[in-house]
Amino acid sequence: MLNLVTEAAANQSASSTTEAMVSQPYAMGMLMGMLTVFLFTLTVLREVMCVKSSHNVLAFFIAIVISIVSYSAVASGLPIAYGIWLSVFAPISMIWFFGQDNKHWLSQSTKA
Amino acid sequence: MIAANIHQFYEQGLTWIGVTGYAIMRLASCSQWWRVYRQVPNHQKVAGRSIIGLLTLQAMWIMWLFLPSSLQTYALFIFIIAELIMPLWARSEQFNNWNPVHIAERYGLLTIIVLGEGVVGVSNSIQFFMVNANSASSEIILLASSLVSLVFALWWLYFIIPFGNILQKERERRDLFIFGYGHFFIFCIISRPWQYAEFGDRSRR
Repeated sequence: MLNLVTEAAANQSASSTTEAMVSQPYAMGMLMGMLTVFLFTLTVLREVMCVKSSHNVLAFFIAIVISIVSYSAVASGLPIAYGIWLSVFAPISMIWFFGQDNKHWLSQSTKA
Repeated sequence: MIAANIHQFYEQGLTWIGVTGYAIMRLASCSQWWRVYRQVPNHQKVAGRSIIGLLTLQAMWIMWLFLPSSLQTYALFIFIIAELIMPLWARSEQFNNWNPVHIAERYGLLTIIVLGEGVVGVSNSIQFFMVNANSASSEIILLASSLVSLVFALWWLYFIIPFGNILQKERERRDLFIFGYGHFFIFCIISRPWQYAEFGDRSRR
């Protein structure tokens, strides 16, 4: 996948006579697909293993929206580097939600 | 042994190397389960079943090497299913004889190793751009930093979930298998991107 991203980005700066073997939207699509599956697996693990967990669906939904927006931006012409930077907000949004849950659990266990 | 011969495994189909490597690993594993059987009275049932299961499975894989080619494919899938079922059988009557924080730490360490492959992949990507100097330095830095940020964000996300505490406080029978087998998908998914980067880099040399 990193190889695809590297080739796609290299083709952007290659000479105009060179045919692009890997397009940036394709590389970004594959990367976002992998990212989505990873986030989904982690969300399912958290949901199934911890009955007190919350915001799982909301966090995953927001992450998916960010991933789709990132892919759409690259497909519309944005360089892939900026698209990947945008997609970093997907796991970060989930980190924020899960962090809030952790604080809530910590305060509950402190009171107990 | 398996790691040293992984290329022969894929390129030449030398499966006996992998089977031999696993046999060595499982013999060592059985010796540890034998120690548990002898020294920990409360865990004898799990230890005994694990020893029987491991030896049986390994014997099956050794027999698989001598099966006709027409049967090997079918037997492969049957044996894989048997591999997945064996731990369920071994721990069916005693599912809480494991330290939850220790198990969560072990899986976390393996996740770190897999994510570390991502760092290697990013390094190879930077090297590719340095050698094929068609891109401006600012573009290289921007792309490399974006990939590194994504790797670190995934790293952070995985470890913000307190799996050790969850397993310790809400331990249920299903958790060992959901947590264990669920990580199969996590490792598969986060290793695939970096794996493509490594093989792509080697094919370019």
